[in-house]
Amino acid sequence: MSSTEQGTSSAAPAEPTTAPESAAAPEVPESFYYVHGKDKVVHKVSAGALQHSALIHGMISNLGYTEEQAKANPFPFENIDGDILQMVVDWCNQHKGKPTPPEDTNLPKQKEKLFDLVLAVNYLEIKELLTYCCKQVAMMVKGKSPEEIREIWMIPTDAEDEAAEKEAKKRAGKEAAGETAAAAGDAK
Amino acid sequence: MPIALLKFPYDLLQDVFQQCNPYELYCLSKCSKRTQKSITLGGTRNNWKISVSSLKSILVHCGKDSYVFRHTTHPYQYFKTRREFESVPSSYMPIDIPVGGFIDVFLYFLDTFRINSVEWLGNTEENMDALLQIGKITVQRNIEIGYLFIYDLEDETDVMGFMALTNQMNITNGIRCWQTFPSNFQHKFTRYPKWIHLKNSFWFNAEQLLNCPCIGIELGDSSFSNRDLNVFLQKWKKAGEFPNLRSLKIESKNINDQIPILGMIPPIENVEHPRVSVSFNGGNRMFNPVRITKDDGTVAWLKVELGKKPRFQFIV
Repeated sequence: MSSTEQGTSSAAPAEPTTAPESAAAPEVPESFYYVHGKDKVVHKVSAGALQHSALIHGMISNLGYTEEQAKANPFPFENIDGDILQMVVDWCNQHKGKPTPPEDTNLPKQKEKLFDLVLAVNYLEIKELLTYCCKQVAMMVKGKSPEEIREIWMIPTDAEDEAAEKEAKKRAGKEAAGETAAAAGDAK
Repeated sequence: MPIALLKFPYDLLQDVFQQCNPYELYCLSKCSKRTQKSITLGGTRNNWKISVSSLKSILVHCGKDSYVFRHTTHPYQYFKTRREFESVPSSYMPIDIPVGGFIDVFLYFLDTFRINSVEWLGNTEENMDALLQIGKITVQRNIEIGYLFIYDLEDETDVMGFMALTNQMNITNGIRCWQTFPSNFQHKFTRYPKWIHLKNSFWFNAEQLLNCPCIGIELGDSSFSNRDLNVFLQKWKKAGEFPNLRSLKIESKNINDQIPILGMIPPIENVEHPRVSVSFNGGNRMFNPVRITKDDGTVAWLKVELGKKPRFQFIV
């Protein structure tokens, strides 16, 4: 079950329409926090679900926000695309308070998202999900030849690497020359 | 849909590499110099070990699994993992190991995958030169070797040269040597693994036996006499002597029924209460041995047989 408020585009979130359900009624009311990605869509997530992320868990531990403060100050993750953050939030909700099974089937299989997902999960420090994602990345080259791996993982050949290095050196040289000329001009 | 792996931050690359097995990482290392370097910097999931027994293949041990890289003369087979036999799940990866280029390939594995442990080394007629070089590399790099297997070669000269090197090598678990040596051969171990098994051990003298710290010792075709074995047992009986020794098996034509060993004339076996069976780690089983006791109370079992191949067996 998703706790996401799709379409909310302001930094201050509106009242969420749904909230995560728990099997047993907790004795202490569960606290919620709010996160948004590049698209500013705010997701309401329970502290329990967010515990998967060492980064967010650390932030929460230090803040001691009230519910109101948390609502007014969603955690901004401007470097993470909205749809990727959605995937991560969904995963955290699905695995709230549970250990991750060795073969997690709750993850999206779209390979086009995998690169960004790995970066986001790495940034958010969600260890179990990161291991799973890295396994998915590794699986992409199972049984492949170096030639095929080069294509799948977009690995430049030695010649391409050398050409890129030369180009970078050339550019750096030009920039340095430009800076010297500018400095000389300023001196005049 | 491709993903740009090398754009991952370094720590993430490491996480991905750790999910790859040796076949996958070997293929990746062959993609470019940059990927090879990334793998070297990234490290591998388990501490990999390597084994060598011929010039045609290299084994990489990763945890409980072994991965075989085997030379093929057919380039179209390179990197395409194949089964040994249809009915057997074990596989191997055909690769190019050029003639005279085995050491380069060996070093490629050591360097690329930062391997600093050898599971076992074994020789064949054709790879003695390479084995000598590998031995030197392990000494230079202080690489630990689990087991060393030296098979019996027609031309023993190379093996004799290699034996000298074994004292510099860090062999931890065992040495098994089947080589038959000329009668003037001499070798003195200055460092020992946990066990030694020398099939033709006439050169392994009483002094070496009395100072051997191994857990298991097996000496075929030795030159030990009843007197030597008596001296050994007298020393063993003293508290604190041979603290590691659990199993000793010696074959020697010089064992006879002329001189007593611990006051007993061979053959030595328990005839009063037969049916006792003793073994060490399930092997070297002996039936109806005699019980002997060390000064500190440690119990051991002894049996000496005569016949075509007189044999002394001792298990602690």
